[in-house]
Amino acid sequence: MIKKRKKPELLAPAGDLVRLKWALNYGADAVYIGGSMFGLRANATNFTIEEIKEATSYAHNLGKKVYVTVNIILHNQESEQLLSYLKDLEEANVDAIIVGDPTVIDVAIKNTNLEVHLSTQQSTLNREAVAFWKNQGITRIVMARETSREDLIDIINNVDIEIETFIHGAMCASMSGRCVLSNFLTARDANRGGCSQICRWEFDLKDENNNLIESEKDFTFCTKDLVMLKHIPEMMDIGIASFKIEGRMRSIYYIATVVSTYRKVIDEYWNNPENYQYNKEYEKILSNCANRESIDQFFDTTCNKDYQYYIGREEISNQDFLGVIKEYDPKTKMATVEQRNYFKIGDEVEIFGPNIDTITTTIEEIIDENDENIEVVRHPLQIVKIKVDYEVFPDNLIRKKC
Amino acid sequence: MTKIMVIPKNRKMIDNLINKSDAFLIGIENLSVNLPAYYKLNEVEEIVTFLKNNNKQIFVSLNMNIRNENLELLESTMQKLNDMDIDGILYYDMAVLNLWKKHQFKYDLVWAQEHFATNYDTCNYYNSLGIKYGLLSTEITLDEVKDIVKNTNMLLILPVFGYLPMFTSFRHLVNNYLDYFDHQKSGNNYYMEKEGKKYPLIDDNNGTFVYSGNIINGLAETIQLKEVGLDYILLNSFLIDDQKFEKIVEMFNTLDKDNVDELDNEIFDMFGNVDKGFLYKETVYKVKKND
Repeated sequence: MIKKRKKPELLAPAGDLVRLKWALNYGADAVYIGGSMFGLRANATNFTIEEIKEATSYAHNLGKKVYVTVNIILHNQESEQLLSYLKDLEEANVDAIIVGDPTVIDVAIKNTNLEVHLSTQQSTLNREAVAFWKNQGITRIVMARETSREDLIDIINNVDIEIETFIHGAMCASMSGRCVLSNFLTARDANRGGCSQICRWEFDLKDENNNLIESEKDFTFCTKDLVMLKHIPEMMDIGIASFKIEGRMRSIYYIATVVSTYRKVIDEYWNNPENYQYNKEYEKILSNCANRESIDQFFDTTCNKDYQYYIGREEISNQDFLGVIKEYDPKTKMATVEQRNYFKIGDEVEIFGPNIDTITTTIEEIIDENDENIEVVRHPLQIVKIKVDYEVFPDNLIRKKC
Repeated sequence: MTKIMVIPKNRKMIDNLINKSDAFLIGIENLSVNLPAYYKLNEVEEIVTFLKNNNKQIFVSLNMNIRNENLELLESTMQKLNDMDIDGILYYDMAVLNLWKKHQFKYDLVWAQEHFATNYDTCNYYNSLGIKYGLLSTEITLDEVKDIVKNTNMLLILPVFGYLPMFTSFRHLVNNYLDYFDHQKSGNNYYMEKEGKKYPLIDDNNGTFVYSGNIINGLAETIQLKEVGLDYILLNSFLIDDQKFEKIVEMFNTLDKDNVDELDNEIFDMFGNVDKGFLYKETVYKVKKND
């Protein structure tokens, strides 16, 4: 029997200050962000040092944490700016840095008081490797995405260190750090944040005699995304310290939806483990905001054909995100809404947020900015009022009913 | 003096190249990846004896990502290798390094995280932990290689001839595809092709592996690398015809400033699909939106 340990942290991605606030407000215990240098999402918006200061101040006021990725694999000379950058991060009060190249570990530990987490780029899978990194001063390991249940149990039972695992989002088809397809095919350095996602490309597949293997769809490495919702209670029992959501370039809607859904599952199990029941409705909510089909990947199995993604949708699927509540008048029960996607009278919708139980309602009345009743809301960012019988709050979100 | 290290394709090739190579690098069943041959421990023992009788160096690659369930095999293999007279073990997973320290094995280690050895600071980091050798990344430029050589005491190995690993996965990506679309599997070796460029692709017991479309040929650059004091050049026979590869090793043996152009042209004529990899090509990582 595995002993239950302390409540795990829910760790969310944040591409900018706006998304950082949404992630924290919707239930994340911590966020990870990229600074202006040395991060593996070189093409995301990323944070200036001033913004990082604002981020830590905002998070710390809520009793939450901010980690900064410093996880590129360095080339010569790049380390020249490293020390001053790390000093800036220390001064900005970040709670930890996430590191891939040991040079960064070395410089950080010798010259700063920064806590250092090891990035998944090192593909750490076993207790010996974890023990090695612990001896180098690492306080938390972000495990390889390939780590199984048995690996996690073995490591947690044998090495006293915080373990962080991915629970949701896109997967690499390769071992992290062992793919340089992007370098060779597009001259973009995968280990310095330039990955061009060749694993999503299609290729002709030929046998060793150069015969084309023809199929309904061309060959691709493309894998389904990760969803660990149903395994969360077991992962909590195993003693994982931090549950990580992938996707620093995702929308506020995606972040709010994924964070709030995992928040509920963690809290429901933590508060009442004996009577916990898995709610399949949560799966539907996550599925509706996903880019691809999702599955539980390596935790439970060796990934077979069912884990690949050959046929299916591949798009930013935020169509079920209808709008953001800007204001609510309890007297008139009218909510002011900023539109994100088309909706109309008669649509069944859900309103959710960190400060309310999810409300299911039908759109019965819509009033535009000229105080005229309208049937449909079709313009992006259009401001309208809708009737909602229950109290809602600014930054609650409206989505189509699952 | 720069030594020649060779990755042989088979046992016979070791015999054939015994007088043309200073060092040999081989793999072991179930603990190595991205190599042309994987030997059993008793076979390794015979190879070690043969090479030591000929005063050659022998390195063994344990460069697989290791799951907990493989730690026992790893540890016993490292123990048995310690009883042989090998010069070094290549590692990717830090489990190898941790076990090496724990048991104080007598052989040296080679840091071989193939795409990570891109700067001299990290070479120096591992060197300070007692790691004597480093296998350099092939995704860096010739100038970067020279800078690393000048700024570390680590003994460095640079691949200068052969197909290069681009992708390593636990997943069976070809088998999954064939299975999904009801095709029969036909061996382990395949190619994936895009815009006329073919990339060798292998799906075996250990997962899926992809290699560069072209063979890197750093013959001409080897002259400069010798001048800056690179310790080893690495020639890899993987996926290359035996006779042609042995000819290549011969060329690197006879290479000098007078014959370099002639040999370079000869290599191009032999293969066609050769290039300089990243020796003169810098990669980028910040791109404009929609690029």
